[in-house]
Amino acid sequence: MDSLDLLRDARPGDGAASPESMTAARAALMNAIETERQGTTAPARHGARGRRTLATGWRWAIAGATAAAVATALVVSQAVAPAGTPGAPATAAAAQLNAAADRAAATDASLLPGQYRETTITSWQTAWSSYGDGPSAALSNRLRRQIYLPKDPADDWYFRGGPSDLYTAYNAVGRAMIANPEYELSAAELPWKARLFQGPAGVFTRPTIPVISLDLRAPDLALVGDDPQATLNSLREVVRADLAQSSPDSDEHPDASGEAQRDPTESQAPGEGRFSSDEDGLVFNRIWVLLASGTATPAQQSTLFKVLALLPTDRVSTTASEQDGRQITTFDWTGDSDELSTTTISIDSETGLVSRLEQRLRRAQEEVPAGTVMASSEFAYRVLEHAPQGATRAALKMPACDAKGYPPTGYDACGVPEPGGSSFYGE
Amino acid sequence: MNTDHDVIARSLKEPAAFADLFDRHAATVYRYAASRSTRQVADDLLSETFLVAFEQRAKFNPERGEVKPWLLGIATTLLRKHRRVEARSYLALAAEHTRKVLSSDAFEDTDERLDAAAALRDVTTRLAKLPRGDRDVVILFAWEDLSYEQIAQALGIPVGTVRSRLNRARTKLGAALPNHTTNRKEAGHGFAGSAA
Repeated sequence: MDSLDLLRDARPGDGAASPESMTAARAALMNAIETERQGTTAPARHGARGRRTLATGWRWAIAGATAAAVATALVVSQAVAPAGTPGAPATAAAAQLNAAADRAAATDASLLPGQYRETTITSWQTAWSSYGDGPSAALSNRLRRQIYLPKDPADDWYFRGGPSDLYTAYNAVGRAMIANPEYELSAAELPWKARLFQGPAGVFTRPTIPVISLDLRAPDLALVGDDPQATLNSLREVVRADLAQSSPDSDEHPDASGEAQRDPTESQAPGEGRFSSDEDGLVFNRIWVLLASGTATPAQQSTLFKVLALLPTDRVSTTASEQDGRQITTFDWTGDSDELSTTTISIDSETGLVSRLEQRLRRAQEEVPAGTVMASSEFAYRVLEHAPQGATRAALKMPACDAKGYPPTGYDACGVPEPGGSSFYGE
Repeated sequence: MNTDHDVIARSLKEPAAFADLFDRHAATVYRYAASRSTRQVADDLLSETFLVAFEQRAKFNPERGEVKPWLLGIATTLLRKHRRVEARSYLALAAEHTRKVLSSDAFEDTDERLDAAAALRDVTTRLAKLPRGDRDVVILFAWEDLSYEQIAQALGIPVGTVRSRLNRARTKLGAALPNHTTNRKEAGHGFAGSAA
């Protein structure tokens, strides 16, 4: 018998993935897909930006979203009427955003050297798939992340993350969404398999995927300074550059009829249709991503709130409520009657920090009922007296493998891709 | 039905279409990863492979081959970081086959079965010791049934290199076999003496 025949006979037979594994992997992919869809990039045309997509994916995974089941006791519901004429700032909302900004700045100052601010982000994201005329399916998955920011952002950051740990999947049967018990996994069955990483100033190389670096710092964070007007100008510049880059590709900008016929289950970008210009809608998107990342310091959150207050729109309202004993101010950005979703930012009135982000469907879309939370994230903050323990230091560059090809002590990955080897290492 | 190439092309404009590739190939990628590592590692690799593939889909060149070898090539590269786990998985595979043989109730052909188990143990031990590039070729050929051309595509190497690696590996893997195949009847339970 040929040795290869013998080996073929010995092919491992028990290689089927569990439903949990398949679900988790598919959810991770759907997150990346959703991230790209939320953005404006198409990798076929924007190679350089395409390379950033997965890192952005992490940020969205961090940010993701939430249908957090926190009981909210609404004690006051005071919708502020849209102010002024279209295009004018909603003054009441702007005033409250500025007030929140002041409190966030004070919170930032309260962190002492050596202390770390722990941000725990619990996100839910729902993604729909639809292939041709076939059935649709939906998957909601929960992601939990913890980010530890030092007083000096140039110091080491810590990040604890793991795969999604709770899923709800739906099959489309006719026009009804039917939960599939096979994918109803409880948190108790799926412990959070998170790992703690340590990296300089928020930049990590994922030890398990060295080709992909995890940069916790959203690129736009560098644009967020103390001056809100200057920050807004910078963000608008970036958006203009993106628009200029993509505008020649007319097929990326469907006309009105095409827009109306698009997959109704596609989630809508947070700022779409809510501002007097597309440009400001995209600026809003970027602010949303920055806030959702959990990496904006309270000082940066403060600036971003002030930038939001500067964005001209008459489509924002505020609601005051109490949640777990905390006073919360919620800002809802809603487009006109044709808009698909409402975008919400909730801010803790005492600390001035983001407590919740949410996108919710306004209208029923085929099998997706109105009111469905498409994406949401809930934020909890805590101050630690010292850095969290037990982190794996992630390297910016892969360490060299030893003579036997193994990683050096302290690392679980090594080496440089072989020239002429597998092509996915890229350029 | 859309081909894999169609799906990738469509996913450049409609990213959600890429999920279709997951539905088509996830089981294959997982089985491949699990055959060369542990289920825990395979869980991660399944996810990572498709994330990398999604990220890199614009670079996929349909003229260079099919999607399955491309995905397995990505998984193969990711597997390189799990070398220790991979080596242990082959030993575990041999041990599992031996256990099955020894736990069998049938007395017929006991010698043959025991010899086959020993041969397998030899082969898997040698498989673990092969140079990584040779091992990649062998496994894609023997376990994933890829053609020379598909293996070349997956690993980004010329077809001639696939042939030479396979021949070299065949020689190294087969070095132990004659002890079992030719001495079987005479050796009886002698497999114990020849086991690796």
